[in-house]
Amino acid sequence: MMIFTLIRNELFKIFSYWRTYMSYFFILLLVPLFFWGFSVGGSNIERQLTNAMGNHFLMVGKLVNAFTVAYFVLNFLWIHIPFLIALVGGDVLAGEEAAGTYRVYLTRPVSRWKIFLSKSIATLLYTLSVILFLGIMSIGVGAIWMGLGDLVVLQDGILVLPAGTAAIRFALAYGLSFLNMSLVATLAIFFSAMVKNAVGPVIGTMAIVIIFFAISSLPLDFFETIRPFFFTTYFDSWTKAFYDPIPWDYLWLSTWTALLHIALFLGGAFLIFKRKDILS
Amino acid sequence: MIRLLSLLLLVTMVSSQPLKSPDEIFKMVRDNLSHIQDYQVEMKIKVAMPGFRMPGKKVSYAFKTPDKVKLETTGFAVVPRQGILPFYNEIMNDSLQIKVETLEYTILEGENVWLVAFQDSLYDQDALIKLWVTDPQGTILKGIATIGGEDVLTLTSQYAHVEGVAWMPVETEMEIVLPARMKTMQHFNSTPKAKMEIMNSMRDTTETPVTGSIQLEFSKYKLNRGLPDSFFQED
Repeated sequence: MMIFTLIRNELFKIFSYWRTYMSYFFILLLVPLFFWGFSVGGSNIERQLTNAMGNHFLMVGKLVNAFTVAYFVLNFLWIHIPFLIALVGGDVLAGEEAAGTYRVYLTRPVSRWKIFLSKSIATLLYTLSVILFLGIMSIGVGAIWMGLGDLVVLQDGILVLPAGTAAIRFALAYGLSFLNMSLVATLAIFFSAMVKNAVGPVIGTMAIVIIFFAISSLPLDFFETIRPFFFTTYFDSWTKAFYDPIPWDYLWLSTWTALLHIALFLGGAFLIFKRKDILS
Repeated sequence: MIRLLSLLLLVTMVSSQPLKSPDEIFKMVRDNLSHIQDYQVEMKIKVAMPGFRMPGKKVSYAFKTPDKVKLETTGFAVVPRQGILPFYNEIMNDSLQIKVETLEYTILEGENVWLVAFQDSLYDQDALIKLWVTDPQGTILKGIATIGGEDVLTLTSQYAHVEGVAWMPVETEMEIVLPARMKTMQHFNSTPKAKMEIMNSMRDTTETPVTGSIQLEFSKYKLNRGLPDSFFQED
């Protein structure tokens, strides 16, 4: 029971900082902007497709709907959302040290592993809430704004997914995204355990993500061989959720890679946290 | 024995028939379609193309002469123009001015058909198109479009006489081949027969072409219900 109290306390701490709400504000501001943009300029996309295929095919129905916009919005998951997640994850341990609250906190009769576990779970719950908020804003608000419909995906040409199938694929994509964002959060926790202020972990996490992304995308032979070992290589797993057929082998590989990295980062962070000397 | 003799007689009659001019053949097609002022139909479309994948779709289609069209479906769909009424625009607009030729009178799927060939453009390429037109119904049972020696589009249709007004397609299948390297040629001055020979000699068999098919099933035809123009205005 104590762990639940600790998690509740950690959540209270996380949500008492204004920066925690930045991710929600970001989504709240940008997603409706996307919908507005698509509702104004969406017909351009339809016109382009009509120009490309119109000689031989007649187009019928709405090409741009909530699913189409939600699919584009998911691209925030490459850099923007990881940064916002790192802001919270990077502060979760280092913030205590910077504020000088560690001494009081760790002298209470609660084991370090319980404190660490509650902080990790609270960070992951925050990550989940961001992904859920992104989903609700993209699909929920989008459904009211633009309505639902078939999803047109560019994969080896044009792939039309019926609305029912698209909804299931979005659930899978958000699930995979949560896993990837959890990986970013745990990387930030790992760095957070090492330092005394939250700026370093945030910069460190983003530097790792951006550098790994850069290396992952360089078409050089040497990088080809090491690419499978970078966790960022599998950050595109959400895009594969919309493929037909779904490449389950790849999704399992990306899931295990993410889980393994999460375990490594949390394990490493716990070892550092457990041996930490609290001197101030 | 009697059957064999009858078949021989039929084949002899067919082969000895003097060739109709392309104008007469296309007039049969126009006569069949000229009875239609407007129509509505329910279509089921199945697409199996490597570059375009779409689940089976039901589309409501309405048409009014000369060119008003309305389509409705749930979600999004694409409908191949040629699949609805094969070569309707080319024949009704009388755009077949260049080198049309009747090749033979033969039997296809138990029907007497005229084989005509003409030149047109397809996929922005110079194409040779052959049509098998039934006599006397004036329906297009089969059409093949050839580009660079490769049959890029093969269209086969089955028809039913709808409401005693006109022969309309009930099932159409389009087989599409996109050659790896599509060769175009500008030989508008040669006859279709000569062009066919040139195209065959140019045939490129070094790379495997991309193939696919589109099936259309038509049902619930409503012909000449006097659809107003306002019906075709977008909501």
